[in-house]
Amino acid sequence: MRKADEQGFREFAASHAASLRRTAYLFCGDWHTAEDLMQASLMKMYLAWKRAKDLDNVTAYARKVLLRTWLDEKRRPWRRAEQHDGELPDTADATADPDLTSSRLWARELVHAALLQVPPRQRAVLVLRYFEDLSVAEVSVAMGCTEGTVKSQTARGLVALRAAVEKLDSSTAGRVAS
Amino acid sequence: MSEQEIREGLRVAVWDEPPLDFDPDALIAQAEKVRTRRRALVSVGVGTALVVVSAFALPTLFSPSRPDSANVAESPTRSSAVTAPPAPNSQQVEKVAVQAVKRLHLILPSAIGVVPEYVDDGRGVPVPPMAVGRFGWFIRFEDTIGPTAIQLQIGGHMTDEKYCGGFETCRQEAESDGSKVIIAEHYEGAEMIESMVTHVRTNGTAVTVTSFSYNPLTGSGIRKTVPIGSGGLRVLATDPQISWD
Repeated sequence: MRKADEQGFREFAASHAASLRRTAYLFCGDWHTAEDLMQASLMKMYLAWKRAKDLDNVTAYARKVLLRTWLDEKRRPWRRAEQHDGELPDTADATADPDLTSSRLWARELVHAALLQVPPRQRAVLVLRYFEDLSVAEVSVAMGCTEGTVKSQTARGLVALRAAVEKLDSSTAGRVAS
Repeated sequence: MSEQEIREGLRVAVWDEPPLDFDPDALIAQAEKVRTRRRALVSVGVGTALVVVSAFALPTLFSPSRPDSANVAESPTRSSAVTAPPAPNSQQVEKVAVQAVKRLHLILPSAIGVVPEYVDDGRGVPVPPMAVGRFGWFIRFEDTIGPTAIQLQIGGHMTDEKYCGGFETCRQEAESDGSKVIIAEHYEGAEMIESMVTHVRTNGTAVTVTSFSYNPLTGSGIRKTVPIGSGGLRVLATDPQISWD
């Protein structure tokens, strides 16, 4: 690869690594896996940089590569998600603002417990639409499907997410009551 | 939960993001390694494919038996002479069998109870004929060791390789009338356990006589060697007193 192209990729990777990792985290719910996905996606981008650098929207292409990498990874039979069991000990952080921490913890629970219960492709649509703020057309490009499919996947994803949140709320309330 | 709440929830969900330790140069170095390895794998794959293709193609290309244009042009005439012999009918076969039985006494005077045992193309044949269109039968007899049989076949000439396949030795000898004799022998250790003599006649028919170290009609009666050697079989196969045609 020419030096100029390599420098161009270096700048692209440095400026997009963090946002790609965040999106990957919302896809998979685990920072370590998210970092692996980000690295794998950027490596694919580098190998295809000769063609990718001339695209109108390189960021959208990178997002598409990330999504494909995650979906491919999920399909691999030897890939096993970490099984969480047992209860983590509750330890108080004296320096933390209780109200703020509470809301943040709730948000994290939302991702870990509710969003992760949504089927993968619906989850991807929700993340791209509500976290990346992409339009239906942009999501359809990233997903490689029609806009109608994006709309239907969004609607189904929202139903699934709301159901998961309600389930989470009721179980949390149940635990508090007991 | 509204869409706005979901949007905010997702934003807050990444608040505990761990610090990013990302080095583009390390990633580029790793990607270059992957690219090199991939190219090496492709080279090995292409090389292996070339070797395999060459292994199959070169012997065919440089084979002396490969038909060139001249051979192809003249091949119809040759094949019509060789592969379309007059097929013997069952009456002819019976006639030949009777004559062969008589001649066997000359080759093996000690043989008693010499009778033909007819078979035809693949129906109830203890030892099947070598190819479709070739008539085969046995001559049953009993020598000083016990009952046994030899096999006779008449039909169109096959390729020479067909007569020699599976035999330890195989040689051709020309006859004075322009025909040829193919003698193939199968050994187990020092002992000959099968002897096959084929007389390829000038009209394109081939007479094959085979002798075994067991009784081919029963599969039993194993003996040390064949009851009639290639010399005797050759006399029978080339016998001008037998109306092979």
